[in-house]
Amino acid sequence: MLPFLVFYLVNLIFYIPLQNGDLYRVGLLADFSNIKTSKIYQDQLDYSDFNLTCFKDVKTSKYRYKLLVIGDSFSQFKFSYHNRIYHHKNKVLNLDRKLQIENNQIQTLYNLINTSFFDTIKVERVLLEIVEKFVPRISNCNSQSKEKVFTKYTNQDYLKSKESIQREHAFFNRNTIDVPLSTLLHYFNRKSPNSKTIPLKTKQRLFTKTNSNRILISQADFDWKKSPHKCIENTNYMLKHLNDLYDSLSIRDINLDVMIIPNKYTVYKSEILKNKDVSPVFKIFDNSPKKFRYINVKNILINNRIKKDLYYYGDTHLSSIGHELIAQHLKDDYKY
Amino acid sequence: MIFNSLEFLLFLPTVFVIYWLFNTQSLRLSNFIIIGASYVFYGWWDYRFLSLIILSSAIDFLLGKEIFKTKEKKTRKYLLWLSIGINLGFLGFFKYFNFFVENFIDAFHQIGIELSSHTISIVLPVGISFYTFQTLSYTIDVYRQKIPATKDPFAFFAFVSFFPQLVAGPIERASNLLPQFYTKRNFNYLAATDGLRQILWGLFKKIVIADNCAEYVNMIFSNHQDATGSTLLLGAILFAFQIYGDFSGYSDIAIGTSRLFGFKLKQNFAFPYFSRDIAEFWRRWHISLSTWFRDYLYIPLGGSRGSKLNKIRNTFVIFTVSGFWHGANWTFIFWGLINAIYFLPLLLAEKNRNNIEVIGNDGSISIRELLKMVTNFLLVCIAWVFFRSENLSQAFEYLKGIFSSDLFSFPFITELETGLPIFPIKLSLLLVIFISVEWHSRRDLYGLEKVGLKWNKYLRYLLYYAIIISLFWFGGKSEQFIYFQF
Repeated sequence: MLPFLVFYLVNLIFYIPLQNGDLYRVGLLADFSNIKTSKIYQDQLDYSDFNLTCFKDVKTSKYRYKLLVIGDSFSQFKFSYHNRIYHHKNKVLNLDRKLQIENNQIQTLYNLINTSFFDTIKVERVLLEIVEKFVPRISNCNSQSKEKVFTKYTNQDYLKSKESIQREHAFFNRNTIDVPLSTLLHYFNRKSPNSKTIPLKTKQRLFTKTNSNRILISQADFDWKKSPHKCIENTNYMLKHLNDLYDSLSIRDINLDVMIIPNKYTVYKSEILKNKDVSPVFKIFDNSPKKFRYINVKNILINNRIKKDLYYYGDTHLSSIGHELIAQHLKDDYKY
Repeated sequence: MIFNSLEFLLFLPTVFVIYWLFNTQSLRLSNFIIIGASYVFYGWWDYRFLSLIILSSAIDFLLGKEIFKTKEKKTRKYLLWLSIGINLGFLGFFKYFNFFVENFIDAFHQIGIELSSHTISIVLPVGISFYTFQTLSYTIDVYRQKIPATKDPFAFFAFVSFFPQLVAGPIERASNLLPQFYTKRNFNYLAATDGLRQILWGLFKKIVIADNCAEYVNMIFSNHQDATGSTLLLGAILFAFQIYGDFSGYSDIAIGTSRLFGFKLKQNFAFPYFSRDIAEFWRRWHISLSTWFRDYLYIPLGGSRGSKLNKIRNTFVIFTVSGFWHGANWTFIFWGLINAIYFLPLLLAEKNRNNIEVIGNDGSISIRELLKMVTNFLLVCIAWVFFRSENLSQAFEYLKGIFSSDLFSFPFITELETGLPIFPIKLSLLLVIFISVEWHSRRDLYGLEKVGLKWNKYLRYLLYYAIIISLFWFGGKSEQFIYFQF
């Protein structure tokens, strides 16, 4: 068992810690430089507090919120775009993804509408945020569902999510041997069969952290290729539901904004040597009729003069720079 | 802590080294180390659980002494019933209080009377069903004068809390395990290596077989309304392997771990799915529990003696109580009742002791025997549907779904994330390998007992490493041991 204990220790030091980027945790190269705190990470510490109300803290309907944000992990952190729009806690209400119905923002919004949430909590507009790679996964939405969305983040929920992280990093787990093997294999074979992370060469150096012309992309950015037809079908399905949600919210005089955060690969595609197709999600969104207000984050990021450090090197998420761009756009163009 | 965790992997060698280092000093110290290690093991879940097991041990130690000391039959009986009352009282409160309250309220609701609910949030101490039965067997055996009461509190506390079998059995009889705490244990290399092999096989059953079956079982049971009859049957079969891998795997690890410390526990599973009828199945499945109920409930009720009505009554009582022991839910009771219905015809026709030797013990197997084995296995799978279902209506719906027109279609499972149909090919291959090993070893104590012993040393180590790597390769879908909830 000793070699496996060594492998597990390697995981524990270089891969499991949550402050490491998620692309390290799904196995590519050990992050030997994680001890240094580079400037790109420093500014996320400037946002030490939430400038918004978390769902679990909502006690009364005293305030009329300007914005209700229902998003995924991109609407999670203190340095995220939604925490930069206002400097007052009572303008933005954030619905944490752990409280959502099966991580499905569309279903969650249906449930909020059907369970009279908006009769008690006053909101001017709803901002729905979904990352591009999760759009094809949205299917089977029940527009009549009345299952209650939790208003209190209970101990049980916390324990459940803590349990699932522990399970993922259990000792008897493929990751124990997978990750160090992936690291080794990557020195011989660019695409390690055991890894969910793909390293690609870029035309220029895009990340301060590594200062190299390499980018790490999640395998999930290419999941749509397993079933392109399903991707198109589900994107159209989602658009239909978004238009229906707009109708339901309009009756209550609430606006609906929708934001699709592009995959890291989509934003950096033109910078990558030997690039391949991106998913049809944005093409469908750009060309389909929409009743809701559509915030084209892909254009905001791609058209930005500076490409460097928009995302983190070892992570699939936007950095502070990326979030600031989105927040500025929301503040300026849509007059939040 | 659970067996398939890093904590246990670090805990076990530490305790092993300390135990054998101080074993030569004194027997009392040796037993004390066992107690200390066991309480650390048990307290790892929740330190509050310790107070209950210590209290339970203390009460039964003292009552055992009193029962043994007292000559008057009436007083001895009173003390025995006190022990039974306290132990079952603990069990009843922690495990069944809310079940009875909820059903009581439900029953009144059916007749139009609304009662207010006073269920309380009760945390079920891990393993309570196991160690209360273990201590009960002690006091009953002392009362029956089968064994003398122990005067050694260290030996008794160690017997009750012995960590390998504390939380999910086997339920050991005092007559087997307690005397092992009176004598000094000597390190036996062959026993220790045999124990390690059994631990390895137990981990394989739990991590590779049970946890991988669980993934598909969960998918099928949560979408059973949309699944075909053949898929539902596949789900029931996979659950049969899940519960067997989980429970017998745990028993193997418990027995193997005990051997590392010089203790011998009884076999708890004797390849039950190779049984040719339900009576044989119950002689091979969870042997420690079924023999407990036989000796302490069935036989005192009259057993198979007496009138036909008595036999029927005793059979139903034993299987219903056995079902109820598994959990505070009507599904478990129903599961017990179904097994009673399976068993009764054999008992009444006096055919319940037809198949004592393992199938093919003389090297030959007839087609008839094979068919009986497969039929029995399918009957057991049907009963398992109740065990797995959340409530009776889900179980009946599930069974109705099995016996539908698409029972003879090719089964497939709908993957939750993509909605695509999948068939567990890798798992099927693993199951074929697993069944082959178990079949080959059906005359032995456990699957890996004699496999590879006659091979070249390097080949044998290659086999062990292949199993170890499979633990990591197929691991990661960790489910809690099913029997922990009991």
